[in-house]
Amino acid sequence: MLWRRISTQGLYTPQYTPVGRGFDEMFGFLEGGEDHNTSKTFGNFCHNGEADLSHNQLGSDDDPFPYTWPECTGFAPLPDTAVFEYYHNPGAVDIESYNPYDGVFETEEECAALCSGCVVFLAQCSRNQSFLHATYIFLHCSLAGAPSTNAHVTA
Amino acid sequence: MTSHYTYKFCAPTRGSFLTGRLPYKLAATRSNLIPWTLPDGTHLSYTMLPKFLKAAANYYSVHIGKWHQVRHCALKLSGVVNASLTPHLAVPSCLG
Repeated sequence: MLWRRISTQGLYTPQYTPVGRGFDEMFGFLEGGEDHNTSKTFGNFCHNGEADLSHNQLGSDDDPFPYTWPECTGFAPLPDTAVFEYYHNPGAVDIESYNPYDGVFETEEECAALCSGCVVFLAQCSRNQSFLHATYIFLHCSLAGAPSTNAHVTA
Repeated sequence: MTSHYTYKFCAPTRGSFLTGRLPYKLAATRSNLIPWTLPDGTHLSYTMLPKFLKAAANYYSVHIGKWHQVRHCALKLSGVVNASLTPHLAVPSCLG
């Protein structure tokens, strides 16, 4: 039954995209949030730096896989900001690694064990998904020990 | 009444607006996140507004901006449907 449900339902087919849902055209982003300077996703589970800007893509089940996702170029994130750190500091990690099922980063110690220089952690992290959304936080660490700025992201 | 909200989170609100269904009918009401571990979304049997507009008067409809009725990562993994069955294996791939 689970397999049947998964194979017929879900959020992973072009049918669930705007064009798949009936729009003749779409221009926007599919995820819950993106950096408008970079058109890259944040605040979700995707790899940081993944572009999420689409124009009429994924309109058909016949579309080839993998789909192509246009990459915005020429952006210039402001140094010393969280977004800049997020995308440019290879040592930066973020709370996206946390998920409500595994409970990664349940404690600051866990974060500190991952890398040095953890600068923020929400002690009230819980397995409540609503909380996870409401306080979506980039948890920045820096392997180089340089402090980074946290960014609060809500939708 | 000066204002009305279909739901407290944005994704189910859009889903409700687009389908005419009460938000609690939409899986995403459990939170605004659409968990990658749950194969839920606004069910395809719920027709969204643009299809009605097309059928009624052949409207040309355009979606601009945020969607979030779909998981980007999951889409990229769609070639491997089994990824939804093994989320703990799928997500590291998604995280790159």
